[in-house]
Amino acid sequence: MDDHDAIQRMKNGEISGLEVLVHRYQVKAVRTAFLVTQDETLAEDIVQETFIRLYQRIHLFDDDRPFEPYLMRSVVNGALNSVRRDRKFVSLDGNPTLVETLIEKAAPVESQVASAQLSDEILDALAKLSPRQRAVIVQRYYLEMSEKEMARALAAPPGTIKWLLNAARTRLRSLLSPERSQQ
Amino acid sequence: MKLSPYEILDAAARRHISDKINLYPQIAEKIERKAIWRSLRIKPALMVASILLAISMISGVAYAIGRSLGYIPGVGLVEESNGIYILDEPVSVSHAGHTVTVKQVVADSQRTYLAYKVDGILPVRSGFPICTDAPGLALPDGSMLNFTGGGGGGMESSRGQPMRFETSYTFAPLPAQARPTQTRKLIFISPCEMPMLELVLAAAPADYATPATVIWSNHEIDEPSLSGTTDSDSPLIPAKPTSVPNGSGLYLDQVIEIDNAYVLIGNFTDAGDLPGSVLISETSDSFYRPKIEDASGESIVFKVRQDIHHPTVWGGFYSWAYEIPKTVAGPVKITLDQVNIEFTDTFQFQFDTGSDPNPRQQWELNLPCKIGGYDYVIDQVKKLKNGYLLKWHSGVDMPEDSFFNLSIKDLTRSETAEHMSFVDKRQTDQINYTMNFLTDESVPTGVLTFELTLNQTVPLYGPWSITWIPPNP
Repeated sequence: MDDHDAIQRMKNGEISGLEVLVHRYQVKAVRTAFLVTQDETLAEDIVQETFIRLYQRIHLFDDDRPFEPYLMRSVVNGALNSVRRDRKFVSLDGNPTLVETLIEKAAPVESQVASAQLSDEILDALAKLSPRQRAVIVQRYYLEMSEKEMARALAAPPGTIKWLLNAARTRLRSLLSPERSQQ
Repeated sequence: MKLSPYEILDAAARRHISDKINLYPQIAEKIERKAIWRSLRIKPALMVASILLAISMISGVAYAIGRSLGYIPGVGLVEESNGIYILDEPVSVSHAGHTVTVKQVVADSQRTYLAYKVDGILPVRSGFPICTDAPGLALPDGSMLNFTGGGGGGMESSRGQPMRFETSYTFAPLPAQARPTQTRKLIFISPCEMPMLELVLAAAPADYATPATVIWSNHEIDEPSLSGTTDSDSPLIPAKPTSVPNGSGLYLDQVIEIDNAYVLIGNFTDAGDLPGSVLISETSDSFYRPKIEDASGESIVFKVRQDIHHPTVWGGFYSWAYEIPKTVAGPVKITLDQVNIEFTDTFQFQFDTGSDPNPRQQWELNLPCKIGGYDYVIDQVKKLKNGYLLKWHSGVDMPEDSFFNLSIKDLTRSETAEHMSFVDKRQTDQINYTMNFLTDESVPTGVLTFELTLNQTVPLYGPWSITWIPPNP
């Protein structure tokens, strides 16, 4: 059953359509929410609520549109709302040495990326960003959205997205390719 | 090999979020609960009847009043009338570097409890490092015991060491013919492609479980105070929560006496009569932890007894179990000061954009309105290439925990809140809000009805309290 069929089933009141979509997208959705919230339980809650809201409002969904981007956009927005409510982030401002420390620790990336340590450090670094910066990193690099798509998803002007991405990308590039950042 | 940013982020996320998650059962259950909840909210009599039924079912079925009860730490209450059967000692099997150990099995007439661990888990490049699916328990004839709950568990690790995963599950009770007499066998079917394990159960020694006795609770439920009970910022919240019993509030269901302690078992019920839905979840423990005081008003140190929690039977019902020392001087007062509730309020306004507004055309509205009891001013609507931008502002006395959705009513297409974002900017004298409505389709024009929805989580202050009098020593 493809997404379109699953959505049609839901519109006909059959919850089996939802089950198909949950099984197909839950892992990516929870990981996306986790990268923004840094909280496993909260990420699962957000994705659950997103699917529930989707089910309740499926009659509004235009099934000519692709489902996955719609879902992931909802997940990112849900995650952003949650972290805004909780205000659980520490600004990186005033702590410029953090990135430098990470650059040193990250090299060489190829040999360390599989290690739990580097993964933890990346997550730690993400946690130090603002929720919105985190969201643009996740959208650009994890959901692999274009800047145009991000502007639409975050309902922000393209210039704002460019600015947010630039700040976030500089840090990410430093993390992932230290040799390039030192050139 | 140079890894892409996606691969690196994915590896980081995979370490925390397993490939094996299954959210669907919880989602389906929540949808069902919400449906029941909605129907109950419009039928108060049915609501009250359902609460009473739920409580009586829990009291009657799960706690087997009048039967012989025992308590096993970590396992919870067990029903001993027909004996309990246990695994004499842990049983292990190793395969491919992993060792699965079934640590504990406890079978009584109500359920079969299983706890196991997996040792020797190494970090992996991608995916969760160990399977976390539910294991199976089979009888020697091959029939399976139904899975009834549990799971979760956690991963222990210390840097440079292999990790350990531990979890517990409950299954249906052993069939009656399988329980009495000397020994019984079960087959543990590991989810981790390990060889199966034979588990030999034997009758537990008489003192295996601590004796536990149900004390019919002699208690009073206090009415919440009538005035000054809420200092919520929201003008929408009424001055007092509704009273108990038969309404929303704190209830004490049972008290169990074990060893040198009492376990107070109760619930907070949202009966649908509060100004919004009480936010209750499986993790409400820390949010709704009460204070417990003795006769002199001194706080009693208590333990949360998660192994004795009542099952959560529906949404709007949060159960708890707290252990207090038996030496406490009664009466004992349990007080819950606040719960969090969630409510929404909407504001609609209409205006005519004309049939062909220019890109970047803007309309200054300066429209005062009230949403959620607060004063706002809709400042401006601006036409964008692919939608509209709405600006509005409020005073600074807004709770931070507010967020908005924006929609345009009566559209036949599917543009909804998911296309929008919300930005608030706090200044010294006002908060400015900006929100977009964007669409992939042609931008609607003409007479449009904009709907702004406020979602807010606010504390609702009781207090709710229960006074319980311990039995005479």
